[in-house]
Parts: sequence; structure tokens; C-alpha cells
Amino acid sequence: MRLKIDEIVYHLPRQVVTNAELARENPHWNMGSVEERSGVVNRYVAPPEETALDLGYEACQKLFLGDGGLKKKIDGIIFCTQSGDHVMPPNACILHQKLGLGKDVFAFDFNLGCSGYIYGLALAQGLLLSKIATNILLVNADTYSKFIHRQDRSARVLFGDGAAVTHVSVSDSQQGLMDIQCSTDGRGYENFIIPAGGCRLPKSPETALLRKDTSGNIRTLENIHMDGAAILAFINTKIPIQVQEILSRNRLTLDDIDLFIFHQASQLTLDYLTRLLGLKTEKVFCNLREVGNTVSASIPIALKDALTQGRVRRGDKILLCGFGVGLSWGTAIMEL
Amino acid sequence: MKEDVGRICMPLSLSEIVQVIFDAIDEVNCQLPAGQRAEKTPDAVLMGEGGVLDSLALVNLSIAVEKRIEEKFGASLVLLNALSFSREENPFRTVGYLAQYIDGLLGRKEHET
Repeated sequence: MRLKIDEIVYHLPRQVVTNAELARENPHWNMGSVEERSGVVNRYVAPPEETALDLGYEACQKLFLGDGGLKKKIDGIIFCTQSGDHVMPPNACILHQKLGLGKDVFAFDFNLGCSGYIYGLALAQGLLLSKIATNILLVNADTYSKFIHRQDRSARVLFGDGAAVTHVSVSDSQQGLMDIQCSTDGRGYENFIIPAGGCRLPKSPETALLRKDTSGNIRTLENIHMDGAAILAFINTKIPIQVQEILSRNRLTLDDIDLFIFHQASQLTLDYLTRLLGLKTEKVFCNLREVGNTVSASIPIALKDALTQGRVRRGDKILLCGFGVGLSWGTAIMEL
Repeated sequence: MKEDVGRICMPLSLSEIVQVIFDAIDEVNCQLPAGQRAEKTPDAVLMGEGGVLDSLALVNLSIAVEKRIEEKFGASLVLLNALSFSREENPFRTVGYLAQYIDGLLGRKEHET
């Protein structure tokens, strides 16, 4: 028995912020260089009143619209987000209420960033194979735009808001999740962090003070801080090793994989991984240009786009790989 | 894993590597405000205490150096990796350290070819 993906549906906020708009707002930003390195042209941004929960809810509603009988089959919700509506309760419980699901449907959140889709699949697989659940909604949704200072070019150009819901169930054939590896290196936790706003450093007038870095990016301690060099070094080192290890233990090679779907971190990151692994560029999927980096929703959004564009089809072998906050990373191989 | 790819066209002297770094610094400095630009001397402190480059500028410098070495000398390197960050002497501390680090990487590649 294996976990299989039955359907993926995603939902993006209505407002698109283009590079042209960012250039108009920030004439001193070198948008040519930004576009080349990030690969992002458009990113979707939620208005103040719209949250990750709202985006996730819309994605679930679209999923149910496409399959009228599905809602009654669902017996679990796993919600991956770092943009919860409240410190408590979890988004998953509020989503449970909004969707009108029954009391025997479990619902919980977990807090991870860009590795969250792989970890979510791992959690769902455990619940499915232990027969605690038969049909699970894995929701990945975030609104990082709410944590990014408007004058922080390094983060603002990269991230977009968005949500994806993946319906997973059990396969009794070869189809589905073949293997998965989840890894962590907590020593690097400070390299990708929002320092203030939690119990360790509550928000205060001091944490709201503006600070400017050498490159001219402005942020407060309540905003996302990403040490790009350290994160890139982490990705360049850990990801190729994990990808090779999971393939090797399944007696597969890079050539056996029909499509590689990495977390859509940035064009620079995808280029490094392509080069370090020696992959053909046509086997590395990228949709950064249109949606940007949507955190843990980026892999399911990319997989859905790859299916829609005919880049992969049922029966193909794919490799999914996410990495980020934690620092944590994970890789899955599956037959669609 | 292909730790690095490409080919060595010719051995590089340390002074040629330093010149590549200087050229890359020129490119990065264009994006930095006056007073926060890296100096073009072997002892110029790039990062750490007294350094002028932040994380984003360091990424830009690394890419600029990698690009020039690939274009001019046909060697494909990845400067930002966990090894470079875990070394006792941070290779990005000064221009001189960075040149020696690159020299070491190229030397290793030369032995591999």
C-alpha cells in the first residue's frame, strides 16, 4: 500500500504584483538583476483581510466543486502554515468548521516552511498506512507578504501568497509514494527567521524599529530575515546529497526520473541544483515566473501546473524536493 | 553528485584569481551605496567584523566570481556551500582568503582532470 495523490487544486489571491509595479514603486531597485536571479515576474499578494486560511478554504471549495462525493469521504485535514489566523486554535480546526466536516474528521496544523509539502506527505502516509485515515486533505498555505517589509527587496521580490490542497488516499498498486526522506539541521535555524512576535521575543516598540542593511533593504525584527548566502550554501550542500541517497536506496538513477520538481525557491537556486546534479534543464520544472515562491504550496502548485501542461502524466516517476525554514529539507519519489 | 562541472583550460595564478575578484567587486559595488563598497586590495575585509558585504551582496559577489572564472578560464565552481561556511578561516573574510580558497578549489579540480 502506498499514499497516492488523487487531486491537487490551488488558489491564489486576486492581486498580482508585477516587476514593473515594483520598479515604479522603487526606482532604485535593479529589477533586471532581480528578475534574472529570482526568475519571478509576477507574484500574488493577499490583501490585509485575506489570510492563508481563506486561501486554503477557497482551494478546498474548488476541490469539492470538482468532485461532489469527496467531502463525505474526507476523514482528516493536515494544514501546513506559518501564517495562522490565531496563535490558537489551529487553522485546520477553523477550516474543519468552515467546510462543515463531521466530528470524526481529525484536523491539525504543523509549522514548516518550504519543506512542508514533503513533510505533509510523510505525515499523511503514516496516517493512511496505519489506517487511521482513508482520505486526507493536505493543505499548504501561507501569506509571507504579511511578514515582509515593503522595502526589503531581497524578500519582497521572491515570495508570493498562495494555497494548495492535495487530496491523498491509499493506492494498492505501484502508483504512489515510493520513498520519502525528511531531514533537519536545527543549527541553522537563525538563518531564516522572524525574530520577534513569539513568546521568546514578543512584539514591542523596539522590535518595530526600522533597520537598514548594507544592501539598503529595510526590515524590523517583526519581519522575515533570510541570510541568503547561508541558505544557498545549505541548499547547494544538502539537497544534491539527499536526492542521490534516496535514488540510490531505491536502485534508481537520475535518468529514471521523468521530472524533478524542486521547491520553487528562486531561479538561482534551481540553476545551482540543476548544475550540481548534472540534470537536463528540460527535466527541471519551473513556474517561478508566474507565481513566485509560494513557500510550502510551491511544490503542489508546480506539480499541478506540470500535470496541466502535460509535462508529466500518470505512470511517470517524479522527484519532489522541498527545503527551507528550520533548516529542514525533504525529498520524495513517486509514481504518479 | 557533480560537485563541480566544467573543464580547466589553463592553470590560474593567484594574481589572476585576485584580478577576477576585483572585477567582480566592481560589479557588486555598482549595486551598493557609496561608503559601503568593498575595497580592491588583498586585505580588504569583505564579511565578518569590519566587513562591508551583507548576505545578499555576498551572494552577488560569489555569482560574479563564478561567472568570470567560467567565462575566462572554463572552470565551473560553486563557492557557496557548507564547507566554505564551516572552515576555520572564513574564505569570504578578505579578498586574499577568497583568492586562496578559489585557488584550492581549482587545484583540486586540476588533479581530477
